[in-house]
Amino acid sequence: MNEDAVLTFEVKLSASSSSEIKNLIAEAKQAKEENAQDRANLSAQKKLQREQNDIDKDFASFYKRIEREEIKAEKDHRKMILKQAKQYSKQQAKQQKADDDEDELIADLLKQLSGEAEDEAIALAGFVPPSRNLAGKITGGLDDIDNHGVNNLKQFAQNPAGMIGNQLLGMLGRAGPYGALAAAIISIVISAPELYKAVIEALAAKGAPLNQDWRMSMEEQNSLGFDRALQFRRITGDSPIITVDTHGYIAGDPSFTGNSLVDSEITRTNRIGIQNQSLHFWNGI
Amino acid sequence: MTTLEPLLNESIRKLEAVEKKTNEYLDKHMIRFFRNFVIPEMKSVAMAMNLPPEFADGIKFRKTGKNTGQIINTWGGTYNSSGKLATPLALWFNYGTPRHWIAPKNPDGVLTWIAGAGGRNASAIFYQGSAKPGQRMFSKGHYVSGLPRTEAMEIGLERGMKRLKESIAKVSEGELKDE
Repeated sequence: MNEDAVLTFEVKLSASSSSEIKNLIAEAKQAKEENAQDRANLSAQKKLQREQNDIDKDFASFYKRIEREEIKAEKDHRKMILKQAKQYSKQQAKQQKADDDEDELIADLLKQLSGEAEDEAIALAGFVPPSRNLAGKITGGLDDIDNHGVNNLKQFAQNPAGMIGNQLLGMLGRAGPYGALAAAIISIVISAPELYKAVIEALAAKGAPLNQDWRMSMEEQNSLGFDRALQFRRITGDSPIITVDTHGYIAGDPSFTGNSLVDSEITRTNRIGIQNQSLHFWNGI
Repeated sequence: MTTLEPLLNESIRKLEAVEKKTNEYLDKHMIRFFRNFVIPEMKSVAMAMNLPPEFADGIKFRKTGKNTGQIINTWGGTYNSSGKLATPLALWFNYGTPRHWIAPKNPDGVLTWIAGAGGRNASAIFYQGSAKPGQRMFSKGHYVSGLPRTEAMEIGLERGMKRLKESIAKVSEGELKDE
């Protein structure tokens, strides 16, 4: 006998998680995510903090480096300034030496040109230094040069090439002894062009022939030289103006109306001292 | 990884494992549970509904798969030569039968029964006013009113599953802890 089910009911016995358990799982997962998020945030914060620290460190390093560079630049700047100052001092000293050498050269030249006799006369006069005496001569010579058509030696100095040549030298030669002096100066300038500026500057220095103040003073002195009374007073010390030259003066000669600035060829016959001259004059000699 | 994350992972793992472990436990003890709680309840229901003992005896459980099974009733589960159930009695007593004609299989035979015994399968149609309770009756064929619809299997199954749910929590509590 084959027997089988007449009635059949399918059954299933299983369990599913309760809502409490599902909620717990969901909450645990959410907590895990939040924890992960917190960790991510914390990590991000730490990373940000590290980056900020790195940036701060970089800035600090940068500022320190800038500061060092500024200090170094300042030191270098000071060093450079000191070096430049030293170089400048050296150049100044060198320039001063060159100027001194040039002055000495010019002084020697002018001294040679002025002649020993005049120096002796000036020394006898004892009123002025030889250089001023010589300068007076040059001033007179310049006046003579002006009279002979050379307007201004300074113009020549500014443009020597335009005046170079026999024409100029010949013209200066015709100007008399001071023209010759000027020609000699010009010859120096021509032969050594690098010196012309130094020569001109020397002539234009205070107390030198090309200096305007000095020339005015000399003109005044020269004009005084034509007045015998003033000349006498000047010699005797009454005049506040000190004469600069006794060149060609003949004591007691009533016809003497000029001085040696006009003509250096006048024979100098008297080398008597000032005091003796005064005595001689009043004695009617 | 912070100290909190392993704890959370462990908690999630355990919580998610509860369902799986419970189902494994139920699958493992499914036969026992049904035999102990569901089948007896269904038999009790059948008996209470005054169904034949064969009906209750035919109620059985068989496991068909993971966490699945069948409640069957095998009463009358005999196949004839054509492969059909000859008399599915459990089916008839569970879902009832309509009014129908009955006659003896042997053309020369008769149907017989005791009248007035309150028999369920005695047709009132053939109750004759002259018949007295206890009187033997004979018939060459007659209509019967059919069996009433009891749904004893459904009712029993419902009550049985309810009992299973109530009992299984108590039973499985200690066992799940042990496992």
